Amino acid sequence: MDSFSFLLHGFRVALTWQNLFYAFVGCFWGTMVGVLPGLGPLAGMTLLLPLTFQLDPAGAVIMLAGIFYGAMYGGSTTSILVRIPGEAASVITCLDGYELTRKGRAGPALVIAAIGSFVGGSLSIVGLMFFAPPLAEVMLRVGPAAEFSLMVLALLVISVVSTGPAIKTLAMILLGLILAMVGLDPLTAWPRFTYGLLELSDGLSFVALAIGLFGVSEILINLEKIADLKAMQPRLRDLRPRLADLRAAAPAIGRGSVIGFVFGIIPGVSHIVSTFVSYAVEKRISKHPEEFGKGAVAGLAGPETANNATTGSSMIPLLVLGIPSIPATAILLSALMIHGVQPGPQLLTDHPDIFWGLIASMYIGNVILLVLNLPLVGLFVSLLRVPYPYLAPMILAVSIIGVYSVNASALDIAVMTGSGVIGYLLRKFDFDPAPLLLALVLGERIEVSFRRALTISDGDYSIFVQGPAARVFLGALALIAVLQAAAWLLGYRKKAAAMIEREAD
Amino acid sequence: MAFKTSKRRGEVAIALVLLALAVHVLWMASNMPVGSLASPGPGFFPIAISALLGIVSLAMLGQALLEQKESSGVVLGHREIVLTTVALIALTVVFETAGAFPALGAFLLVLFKVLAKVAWWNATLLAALCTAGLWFVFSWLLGVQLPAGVF
Repeated sequence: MDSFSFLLHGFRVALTWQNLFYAFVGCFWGTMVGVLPGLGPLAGMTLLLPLTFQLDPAGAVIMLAGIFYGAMYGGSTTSILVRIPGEAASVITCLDGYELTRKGRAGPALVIAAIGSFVGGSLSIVGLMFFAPPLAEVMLRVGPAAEFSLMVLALLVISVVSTGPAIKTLAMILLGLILAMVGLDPLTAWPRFTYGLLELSDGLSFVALAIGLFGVSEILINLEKIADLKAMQPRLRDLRPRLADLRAAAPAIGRGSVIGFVFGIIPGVSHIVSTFVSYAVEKRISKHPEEFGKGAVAGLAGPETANNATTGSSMIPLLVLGIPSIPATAILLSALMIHGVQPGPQLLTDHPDIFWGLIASMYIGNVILLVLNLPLVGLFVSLLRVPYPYLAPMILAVSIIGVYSVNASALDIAVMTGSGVIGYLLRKFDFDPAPLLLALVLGERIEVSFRRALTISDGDYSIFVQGPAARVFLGALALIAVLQAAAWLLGYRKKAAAMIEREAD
Repeated sequence: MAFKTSKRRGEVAIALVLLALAVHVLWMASNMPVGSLASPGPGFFPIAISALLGIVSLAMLGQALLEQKESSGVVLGHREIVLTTVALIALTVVFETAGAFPALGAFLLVLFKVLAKVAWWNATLLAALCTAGLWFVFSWLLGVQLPAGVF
């Protein structure tokens, strides 16, 4: 079977009424959490994760992926209308998107953002479809030593590209690896750091930690400025863009698709980085760079497209290598593992329903989002009218039920509360909890592959640098280093940090 | 209730906590079978990672203490955050004994009062409606099994 036959099979999976419903629910919920400030794709996915346990694996991953790209879509709405990014990747959209709103052109800005998101998202799925299968074939020949090198490489890249100081990111990665060791040793079943508690035998609940570190800590941070969080009354008029707008947006959408796709593959803060790079590129090649920041259509279309183009390509490391490149895909990884499905090169052969069903559902999801976002934009915007003091307790209550329902254990609620407070404190002192979560997800596989490799080589450490796979990963490391150096030269890190800080203020 | 501290002081505190954790993990792992290079045991990886965390924590500590630049201030302990955290802890304690929905109802009542600053009867009505909604969605519609508690 070739890719198209597999894709047809995927559409048969995705077009069942149940999976269509899950895709719709995911897209709808994703757009909602994307619109609401302080609830990005990660919090949206973690909150709904426990509900997916009762679904079949394909349905669960289709729904969670829908939340992921739905939040990417929805995040732009508040950036454009009220200059509040719904999620981090929409920060740059505020610059020109909100300026267009101030000029009374919010409708066309929303339409251009939706078209860019649709095109970027769709093209990246095409890329995912063509790149993933051959890469998976290569990965099937990789042994435990190369697997270990690859995962360490992923963690190291995350520490390099994170917007926070490298030493703090490294500390978070190590903390995540330690937390991953709680429970029975995966090879010998020796109890480690369980303190005699039976509930800890299976390890710390990933769901509780993720909801605590991201969902609860986000709410606690928002509670600091609760007096300033007023319900908003955004207004919308004509949605139709002018022909000149579409002409200005088209090339930016094309470039944004390519930039987003390339950056989506790189582990780390890919979706945020891609928006900054896209904005910088558009400004640099524009005949009127002075218009950027004052309502330039290309300054809105490029980053919005790049933002959504990363969603498809960020699935490549997840589905083919089993490595989540961003925390949101770590949630997808966790969902698959809970259903007994191990993402990695075998996913395409062992579970073609899930892989191709997901790809097909992403095509469908993009159409659902386009259909949802334009006519229902008024409905989503009305969510901003719900005051935060009423919203926060309900989000916490839903989180508590979700966390408890995983293992029916009050200990998980305690873990969620504890990690929420810890996450809040870490973020107050510029420690990014995202690398911690990624290390937590990868921890067991890193340890198992490390120990297996040493057993195979009879304690010879040179196994980690031998063979063609190691050379491929070293090549990948060099490529990533070059790409990161280029991004560094464009100054995205400083700009990103300053921008996020300004928006947070 | 809120107090101001410096970013540097916070970084020193976090570095010390991580260092203490590294020492604790190292101590616990030393009681596990370490194995050999050819066959690493369950204590091998924890020892390596905790040693690395210890080194990184010391480097962070040194960096924070030697920092010449004036660090920015950080405000902690906002009333809403402290009360929400206390409510979460209390809910954790009573969740199984009192039952999920009575505990959630009381939790919502306190938070609506503290955060939305509405009158008690308004908060009670709102909490009751929201709890009923949660019961409808999670228990009735989705069939999620939650502790019944004393009820």
